Amino acid sequence: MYLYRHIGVAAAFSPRLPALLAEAARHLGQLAPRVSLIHAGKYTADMEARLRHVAEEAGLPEDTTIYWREGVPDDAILRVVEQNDIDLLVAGALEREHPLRYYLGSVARNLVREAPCSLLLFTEPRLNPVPFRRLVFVTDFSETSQIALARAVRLAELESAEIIYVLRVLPEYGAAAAVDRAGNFPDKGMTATTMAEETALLRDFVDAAGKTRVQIRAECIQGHAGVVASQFVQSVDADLLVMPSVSQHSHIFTRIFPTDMEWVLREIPCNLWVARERPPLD
Amino acid sequence: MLALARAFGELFNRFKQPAIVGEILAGVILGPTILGTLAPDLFGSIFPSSGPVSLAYSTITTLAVVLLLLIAGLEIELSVLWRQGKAALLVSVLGTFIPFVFGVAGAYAFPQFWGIEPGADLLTFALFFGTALSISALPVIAKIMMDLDLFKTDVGMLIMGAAMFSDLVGWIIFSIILAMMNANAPANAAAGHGGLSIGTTIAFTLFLVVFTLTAGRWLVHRALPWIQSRLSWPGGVLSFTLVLTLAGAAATEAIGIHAIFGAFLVGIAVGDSRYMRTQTRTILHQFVTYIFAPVFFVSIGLEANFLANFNVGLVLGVLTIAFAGKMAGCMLGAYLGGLPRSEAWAISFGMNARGAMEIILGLLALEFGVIQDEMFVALVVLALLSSIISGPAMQRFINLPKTWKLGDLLAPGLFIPNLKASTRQDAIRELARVAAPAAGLDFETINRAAQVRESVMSTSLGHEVAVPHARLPGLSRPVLAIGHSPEGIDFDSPDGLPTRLVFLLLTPTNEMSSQIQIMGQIARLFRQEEVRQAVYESDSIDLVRALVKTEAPPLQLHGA
Repeated sequence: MYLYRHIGVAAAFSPRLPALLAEAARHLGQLAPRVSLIHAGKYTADMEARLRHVAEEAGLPEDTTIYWREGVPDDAILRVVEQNDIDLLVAGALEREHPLRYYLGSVARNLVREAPCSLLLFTEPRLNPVPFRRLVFVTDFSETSQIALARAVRLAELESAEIIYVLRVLPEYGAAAAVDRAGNFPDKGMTATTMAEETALLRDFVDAAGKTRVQIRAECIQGHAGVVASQFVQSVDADLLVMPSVSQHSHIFTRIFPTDMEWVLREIPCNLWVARERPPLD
Repeated sequence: MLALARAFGELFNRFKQPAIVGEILAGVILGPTILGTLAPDLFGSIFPSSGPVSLAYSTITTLAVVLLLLIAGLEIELSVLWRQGKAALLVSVLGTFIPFVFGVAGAYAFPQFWGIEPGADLLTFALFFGTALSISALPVIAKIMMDLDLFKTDVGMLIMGAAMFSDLVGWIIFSIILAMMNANAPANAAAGHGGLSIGTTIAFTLFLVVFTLTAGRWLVHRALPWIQSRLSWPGGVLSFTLVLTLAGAAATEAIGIHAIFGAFLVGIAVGDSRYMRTQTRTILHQFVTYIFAPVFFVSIGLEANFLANFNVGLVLGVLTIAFAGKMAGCMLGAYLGGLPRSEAWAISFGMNARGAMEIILGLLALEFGVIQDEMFVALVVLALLSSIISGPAMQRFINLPKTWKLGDLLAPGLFIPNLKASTRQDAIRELARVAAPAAGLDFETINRAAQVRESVMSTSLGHEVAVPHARLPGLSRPVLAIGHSPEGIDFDSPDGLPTRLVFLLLTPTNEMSSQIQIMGQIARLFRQEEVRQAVYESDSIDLVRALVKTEAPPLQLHGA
């Protein structure tokens, strides 16, 4: 049972390339029948030989397809994704974003913002990859997140992961409401009924992911989804964060007033799996 | 002032009314309306119009409103708006723009009706009136959303996002109006004077907005962790926030607009940082809300004689144009955004709540001489009335999502005891034919949607069960068709077993939770082998119904 049809790995000649390809070989072989490499740059026989050598060293099959596209790196990679029905794009080496660069956008982050398919970003790829142990999954109860959880569960089984934490993050308007003082200051900003309903729905959501031997722990937390996700990842020492997200052309306003995903992109706390469907289902 | 305000606030809370109404009433009692009429000498000695007491009073109320705007800014999170998409943007823009146009047009059409004397500065009044009609009150709206249990719903989030937009745009426009007022105000007017031209003031204002929302936010975000790690907590962050607020207030005063705008901008910058912890916010909210805000709202009642200046015609005129403008703008935005009519009404009433923001605008306009006492009283009535009726009116139009039980959806006509299909695509087709009449939709629509979903990833839950599903527009309630395949069908299941029970689940597009609820119940019930066996052997929907009713306590599904 494959999770994706075609995986593309964005491969740039950087010191981290061997590690990224090693991660790809370790984790992706069982996820899709096809894994291809995408290089944004001009094709030369010498470059191909170098890339193939690194790929084979990393453990990728000899006949791995390599797509070459010239142009602005993120645009070139996205063109390959569009033209070759790639439904999971893998990239790596995400440095912390400089403030000016944040407003302008970097290649990897632009891929996250604009790619029409799911993405898997390795923040610190290793030459000797280890399986994912703890996954944190943030749900918004959308169809995309339902499918993503089913996929995350399958991946966790393949990797023999310890646990998946499924988080439902609820907005926190208690403080705002207090300004009006039409009642007591709400300690948690939410009635007990609401929290109980959300917890019950979260339980249904997790159960609907189907049969699995992986331990799943579900939690409802209040706050800003992007912030809560980052903090939770650090608190449980997770190594993969899964978030559903829609593809959208990023503009200056979404940088100034960041969405959940933009919050996560500010300081990506661990490897990040952005779940997205083609065509969008929600 | 504080004691009476809190007493009345608490009293009104007892009757489930906003505290602000009680606090303003306390001001009406202490002010010229009651005390000033019954005991003018006592009133004059408590609230002298000049001297050190008057100066201290003015300082305290200004500080109160500055802090009130700080916490209003803390709650602005415009990403909520982007998350809600096109409908939210349309409601925000039209819900702000159309009442603004109503206000400006109304001012020019009937200036004397609104109390503007011939020869007065009509442009400034028109812009003020437009802004007063377009602004919303985020804190009131947040409270209503929580009371109605709506804030986690799409409608609730949409209203919150749109109200944030209205507040931000409203205050930017109002700061520009303040610059115009300042240029026209007499030298002894209450507000500060920067001595700058209108153009310079507007340029400075826009620069401050852009700077605070970009570099300012980034600087605060960097500074907070440093402060939290090196200074006492939460005292260090509180001091930092208040110093920044007063600096922002001073900066906006210096360029010729009111201190509150600087405080509002600082609130947005500080509130946006993830390092601003909930506990710190709570402390700020508590001491502003229970100490400074009541003093400010009492001062509203002291500003005018509410009985002598209650002009019925003017109050009705303001209420009519304010309600009509806001409702028309929001309804149009919701209509263009493709929202159902009942949701459009609920959103319009939600956005119509004005509360404290309206009153602050009115008070400043009164201080600058842009409006007279009668108009001020009418705006206070508008603020209170729109806040009071917003919640009940929304409740009338909103449909809270129902909690669905599996038993509600079982029907004999929707059960196929012997599926002929041998592939999952055929199984979906077979069940879609049965489900179409019950759903009131055509077979092709249902089949296409379910097949598309199935093609993305298998809907098998394992344990010989699969739940192909689709969210469909035009469906009024969930529909469930069940099929039993004695031979079993390959659904690409996670446990590799063939699927023998297929549930085709159709849910309305806007009821996200119903699909999850029903799938969760199916997963829990049919993971029990004895339950599945009973269905296989009897092939009866009645038995399924009986099993659902007697569903055993849910078992742990994962990690067992």
